[in-house]
Amino acid sequence: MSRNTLRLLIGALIWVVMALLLFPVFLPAGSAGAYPLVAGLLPKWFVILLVLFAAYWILLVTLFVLTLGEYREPEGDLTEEQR
Amino acid sequence: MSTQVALQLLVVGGYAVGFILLGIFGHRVSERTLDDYFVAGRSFGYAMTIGTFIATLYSAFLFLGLVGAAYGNGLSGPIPVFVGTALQALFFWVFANRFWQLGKVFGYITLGDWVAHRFQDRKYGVLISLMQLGWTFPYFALQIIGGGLAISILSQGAIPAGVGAVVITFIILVYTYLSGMRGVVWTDLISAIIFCLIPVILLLTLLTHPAGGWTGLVNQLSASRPEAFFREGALGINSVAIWATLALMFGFNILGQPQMFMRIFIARDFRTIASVGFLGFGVIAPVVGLIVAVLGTLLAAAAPGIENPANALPTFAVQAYGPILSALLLAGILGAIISTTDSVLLALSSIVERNVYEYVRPNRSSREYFNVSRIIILVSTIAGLVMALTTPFTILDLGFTTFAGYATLVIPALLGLYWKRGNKYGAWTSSLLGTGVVFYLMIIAGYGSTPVLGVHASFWGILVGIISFVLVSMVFSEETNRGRDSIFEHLESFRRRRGTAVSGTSAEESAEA
Repeated sequence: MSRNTLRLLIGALIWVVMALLLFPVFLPAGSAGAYPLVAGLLPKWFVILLVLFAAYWILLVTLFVLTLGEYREPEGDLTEEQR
Repeated sequence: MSTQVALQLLVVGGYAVGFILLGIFGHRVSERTLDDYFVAGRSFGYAMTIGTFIATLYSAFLFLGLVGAAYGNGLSGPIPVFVGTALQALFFWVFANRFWQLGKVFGYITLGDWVAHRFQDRKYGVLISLMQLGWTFPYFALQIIGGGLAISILSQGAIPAGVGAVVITFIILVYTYLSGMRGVVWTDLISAIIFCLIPVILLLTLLTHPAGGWTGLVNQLSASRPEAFFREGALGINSVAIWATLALMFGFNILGQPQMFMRIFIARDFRTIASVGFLGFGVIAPVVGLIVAVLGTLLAAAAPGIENPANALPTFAVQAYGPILSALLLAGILGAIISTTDSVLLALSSIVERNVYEYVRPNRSSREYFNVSRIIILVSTIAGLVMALTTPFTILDLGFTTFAGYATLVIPALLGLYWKRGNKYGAWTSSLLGTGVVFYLMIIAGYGSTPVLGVHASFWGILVGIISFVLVSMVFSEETNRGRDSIFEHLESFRRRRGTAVSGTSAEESAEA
């Protein structure tokens, strides 16, 4: 898999995770009795949210490294024509 | 005034003096040009650039407004905002990198510069600048109110919040007036480090809370107020629709903030500005935010019964820690407030000077423009202080109102970066209608944070803004636009050059391969 394909794939996954973070329809409302505390500390919905955030961070940092790891600033300034 | 209070004020005063000295140093090493004063000569690297973005993003709104939201509305209260900061990272990647590239060539400093060039309409640049000015004052007032509250709580009421607000405004004024962007960025870095550590330190100290540490506090709150752990919040207002639309508002608003837009151009290279989006908004900001949400929730168990949720953090700090530690914590909070407010002031002066004053009085000397920008800082400060002392809005509502305004006014500026057909007719309609909807719903009709037809009021402004921009641009097409053409030609050229630089092969080599 080429670097560009990998970048596109990770980029798409990031937007999928972001959509899940934006529309948390899968997190049940607590008023329905669905707020069991995980390890007696944090509610289940919050732990799921943390896992999603963790996935988001891993993908984001991977994309960052893939995109800018080999990046070099273009040499020279723009020509008058390009300006 | 007790010795303890005097000691605390001494610590905070020392912190403020340190800020001012750094501002004076920044002033001494600055060149006397607008580019240096406003965007520090476009010269900052990773640490400074990420630090200043984070410090500007987080302010009184974080420590008072959002901790208060978790204190009053439970764990999920501020979470949509932090989902919004994660979304900001993607918006930053999609838009800010392009703005940085164009700013390097065309010399943009403000959003007004960009839209005036893109839509070839200086009057539209004036409109956007005046809208930014209008929406920024509530945010400025929010910071001053927060500063006044923090000083008042620190002095255990010996200094009233109003007097505290005047003191904090004076410190900000002296410091911003002297330093310009260079000094502001230096102190921002220090502030960012300190106030990222504050919630972590506070959270760790709660491990040894007499109620039984974190578990004990959670059990206590779970028994007395289980709804604090509900996904929809203790007040039941965080529906999925509200969650999504609040987060969208935060995503959209970031580049409408004049202080944020200006900061794009301080980065010295592409790698630096890209790192702000990925690491600053993508990682650091949401991590700090999630910690703050947990902290605010635990404070509801550790220090119950605080009448105004916005006071939860400073009140707890003063009650629970010794005089020195609590003063250091509050100095950090004040640092966060100052680091945002000075940026707001600098941004206000830049947009009025460049996009309004220069339009009214063109071709004056750069010295005159420089002096005008300083006068604007003085006038804006006094106006912000007056608003802070008289506004009936809460910190949370002031913040949401400002963010909703930014989110709607920026729509043509963002869409115009990608959509060539977007034009000034669509831009005028979008900004006037979208912002008008938000102004009506949030200020005149007084919805504030209350849902409108099931979603946050800002959503209707964003929706109207996008639809009207697209429809009107399609109906009233534009024949020629030299600014637009040169912008898109340049973007294409930069994309080709960057593609070459990233792959490490020239176009010719690629063709041969």
